[in-house]
Amino acid sequence: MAGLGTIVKPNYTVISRMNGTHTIGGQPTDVWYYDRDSSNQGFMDNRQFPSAHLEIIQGQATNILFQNMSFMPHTIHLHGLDVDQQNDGVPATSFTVPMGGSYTYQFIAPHAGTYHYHCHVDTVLHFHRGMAGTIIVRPPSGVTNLAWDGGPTFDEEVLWHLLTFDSTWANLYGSDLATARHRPDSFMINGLSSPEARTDPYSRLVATVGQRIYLRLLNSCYQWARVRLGGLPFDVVASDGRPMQSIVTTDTWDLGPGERYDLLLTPKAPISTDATVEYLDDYSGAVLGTAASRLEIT
Amino acid sequence: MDQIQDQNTKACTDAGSSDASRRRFLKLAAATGVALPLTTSMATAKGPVGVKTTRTKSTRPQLRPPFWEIEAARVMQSFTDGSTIPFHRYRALGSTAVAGTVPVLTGTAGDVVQLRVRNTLPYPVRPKIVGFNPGPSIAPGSTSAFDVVVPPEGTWLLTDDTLGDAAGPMGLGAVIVSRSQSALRKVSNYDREFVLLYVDSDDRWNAAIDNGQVPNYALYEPNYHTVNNLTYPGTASDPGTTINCQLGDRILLRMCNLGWMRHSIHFHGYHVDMERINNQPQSIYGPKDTVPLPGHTTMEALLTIDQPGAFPFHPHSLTATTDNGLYAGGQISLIVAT
Repeated sequence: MAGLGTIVKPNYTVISRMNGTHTIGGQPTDVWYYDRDSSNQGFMDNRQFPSAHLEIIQGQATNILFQNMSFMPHTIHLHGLDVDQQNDGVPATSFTVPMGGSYTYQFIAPHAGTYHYHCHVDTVLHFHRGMAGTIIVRPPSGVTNLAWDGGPTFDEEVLWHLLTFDSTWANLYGSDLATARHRPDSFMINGLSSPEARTDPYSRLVATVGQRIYLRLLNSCYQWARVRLGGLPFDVVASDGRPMQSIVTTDTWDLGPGERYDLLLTPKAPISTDATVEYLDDYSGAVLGTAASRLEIT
Repeated sequence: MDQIQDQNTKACTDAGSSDASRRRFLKLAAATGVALPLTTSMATAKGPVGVKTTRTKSTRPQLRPPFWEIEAARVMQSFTDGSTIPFHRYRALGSTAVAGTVPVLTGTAGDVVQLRVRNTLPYPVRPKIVGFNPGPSIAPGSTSAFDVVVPPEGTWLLTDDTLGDAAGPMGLGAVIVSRSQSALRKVSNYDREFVLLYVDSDDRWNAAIDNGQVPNYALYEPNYHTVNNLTYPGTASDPGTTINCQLGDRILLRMCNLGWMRHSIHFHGYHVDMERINNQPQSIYGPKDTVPLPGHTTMEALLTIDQPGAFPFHPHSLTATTDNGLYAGGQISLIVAT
């Protein structure tokens, strides 16, 4: 299960830090991130970019204690969870958490699915510097091999947090003219570019013939992304935490910034190939860059 | 209905019995794809060579057909980053309704409406409903009027054919709201409706065109982003752009992207139902909090207000939530539910 489903619980502590380091484009890069507490280990717990992954349960009262241990105000916006205004994390409509401060975001997730959270202070920059993570909402039973009550079961589960990075933004502390145009020069899956993503245990799609792989996608970029799984057909079964009205079977799927899609892949024969994400220019549709991991079916 | 001043709808209805044979012909022609929604010139001050023209009368007849009245004009707009950018926009004249400052042209599907266009730009304009052939060219400094067959029920973009790819970024846009003759919406009923026109602009293109030059079409990196020709926080004070509503309301959002950015619009607080894309019913997506909205696309989405509060909605390509990089600005709008 590539580290997913290890920790599923209703209460978390999330700590904002602005002193992280991650290798992006081959260079050590300063990143800002939401750190996990010591009890939340298992999925990508060895990296600070992207931010900590959380798993909670549909219908349970959830509390996320946010401790701001950085030198700027931040918030947590619970993207897609349709929380109330007080817990929405938007400074203009609620409040910011000041440096050294804390707040407990409280909500009940209404639907199992794939979600997102990120800072909504000076969003264009804080988001890009790394203050964004994923949330999986498990069905009420808490089981980790069922997408939602009445939804598909699966044997393997993988999450791809899709990321691009513009290195000219790497040392900015506030949005300004430099953040008018995003020209990415690194293209990643789960914070890793292709050479590393191909061997990343959290990103590889590994199963045996006939097993069902559930791939959760989050586009956390400022560009659209086009996903292909080695040319194999897959089912698009859910988006934004809700079942698709009609399941789409295809071998290519585009997702826009902020969107999430859940794909179900059932390989019928052994294959060893790349599974790719192409990042697309908004205007021309040209491929700006590609990230790849591996699809290994035995 | 309270946000879009629907003053032309009654005129359309009142004119229902006039020139019935002509209307039947046009309906038939439109349905079979033979005629253009923009039909031959009926009254043009300065028409192009070869087109039958009639000088516009200085006084309007007592029994006049329903009409839409707009102007193609140069507009200078200031932004929160301190810049002032030239736009060439359609502006509403007379009683034509607006959302923000975007003309909203409302009619009944299949009816004939007179479109009056005053062109104060230094080049000809040629109005075009996206998906249809353009109408006649309107010379600089002239006013023309010509018949338009209101397209099928739905939400349509009106833009300009002269500038090609640059028409959207320059702001030459309006929205056509076409209602069905039965007055019953075919897809879903709703309590209120809002028109939201998204436009992205690259100030280098705008400056070039405003100076009579050709922009670098190979390089487009928009840095100004408007909704209904406004940017946040201006969107928050515009009653046609802020979704003011009440708990339990069903809101029809007529979302239009006249720009070239391939957007995905994220809603805080709510999932929405994507009903139609480019006026075609969609049956793929379930409820979504982030909806795709490519360039030159219209989408009708139904927003059910199931909780009170103030919630933003905005593109998640987050440069579009800035004015030339300065956050918060750009295409952020608000839902305010009481």
